[in-house]
Amino acid sequence: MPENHYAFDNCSIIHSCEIIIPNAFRPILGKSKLSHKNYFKLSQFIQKLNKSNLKKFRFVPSNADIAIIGFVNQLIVETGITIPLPSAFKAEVNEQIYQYTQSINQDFIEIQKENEIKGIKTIFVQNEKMLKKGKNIPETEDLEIIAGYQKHICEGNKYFISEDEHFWGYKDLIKNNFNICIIEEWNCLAFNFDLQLT
Amino acid sequence: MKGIFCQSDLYITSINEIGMLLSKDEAICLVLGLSQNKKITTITKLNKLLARLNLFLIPIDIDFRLNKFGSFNSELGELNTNELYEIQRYTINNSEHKSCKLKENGEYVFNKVKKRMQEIFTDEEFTELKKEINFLSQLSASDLSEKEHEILLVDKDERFKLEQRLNDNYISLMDLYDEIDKIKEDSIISIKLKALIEYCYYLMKYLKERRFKSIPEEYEFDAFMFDYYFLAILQKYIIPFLVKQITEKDINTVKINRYYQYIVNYPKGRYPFSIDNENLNQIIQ
Repeated sequence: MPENHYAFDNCSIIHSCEIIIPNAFRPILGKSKLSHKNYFKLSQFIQKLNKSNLKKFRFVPSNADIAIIGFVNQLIVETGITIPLPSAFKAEVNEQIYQYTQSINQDFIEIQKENEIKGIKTIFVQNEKMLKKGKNIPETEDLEIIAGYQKHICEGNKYFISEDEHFWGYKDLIKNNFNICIIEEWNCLAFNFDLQLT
Repeated sequence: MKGIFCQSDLYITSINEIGMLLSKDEAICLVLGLSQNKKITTITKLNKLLARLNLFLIPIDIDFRLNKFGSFNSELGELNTNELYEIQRYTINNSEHKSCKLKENGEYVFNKVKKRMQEIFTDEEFTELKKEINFLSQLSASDLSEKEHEILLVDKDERFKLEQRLNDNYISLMDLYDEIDKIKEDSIISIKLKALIEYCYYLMKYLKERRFKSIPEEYEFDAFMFDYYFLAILQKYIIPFLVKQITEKDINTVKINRYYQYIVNYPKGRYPFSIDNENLNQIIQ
């Protein structure tokens, strides 16, 4: 049976990390752990893939720093709380996520991003959609992921897990043109593995 | 951090968030390995040389107290011979002493530690450490204590210098803290640099306004070693580095990580001003 491949957006890998809040910040935040809203679903999904011995992929090169910094800033804004020693808090959380990604990245097989994206970009420009996030056309990095995944050899289905509207907003277009199935992060647990495996 | 011997006699250290935290035995092997003839003649001297590693910002899993006689850890008095070092008892003038000598396995651990330290120490810095420990290992315990007092400003007749150090450090860190927003948060290390400035500023504020609010006229008994060590280290290493770093384009990742590790991570669970302390928010207000 042809093997399906499951590739993750770097942000989705980061979202699967649960952060242990250092003691000093716990009374202020009122909790001991912090995570992305899709953390539980993603971690369960990754566990499911592991149990089924299904390969996981990620895209390189990636700027881990930028993704981590963006995620941590988002988490802080979502708390709605002014945190004392904000830079120290950020540094501690950054470090935890960095260590987590360093350890989990070993479980993911690397797919090279592809620089040649001109043709792909044209398809998006010709089929531009109004997205909620403002920038309607996927960014260069997003297009490099699509190009890299398109080039990647897989006998089964190619799945891509992401929270980015640049992907799920163009779900049908990406499926029809590049044969890549987009799984929205928040829907990953609803994804029917058994059905896909048979 | 606990070290264990596995069957092949290789020394293994468990993973710890403080990457360079040396276990008690690793620290002893380091000091012995750098000392003259790989031997320390008294446990009191060993105490002081181990404490001295703090002035090189080497975190070790031994907590020292500081008093009139210098740094001490009472548990070190109970050291026994093991696979790494040998404790020899001898008597001079009717008083019993213990010396400590590195064994072959200890030499192996020393070399492992040395290799690990090369990740955060330049060759010059390690040579400086080697020279200093070797030189100090030839001094008497009382000379060592005197030198330590000079550096840490522990003596009661140097209270004015201590006060001056408190003021100088605080003013320098206030200036640095005012500049903090100029650092762009465009990399994990630049955020760590900001965090280091912020943390040092609040630590210094704590030392000045709380810990040393009224400096005792007499010797302190049982002071936290960090109280005095932080003051000395901030003045000697960290503040000059931060002043330079904030204006430089290139970020010194190795040094930022090393200083951050010593100032922020090492005190966790060992000192009141720590992000491991759930009452820290009350302390910094």
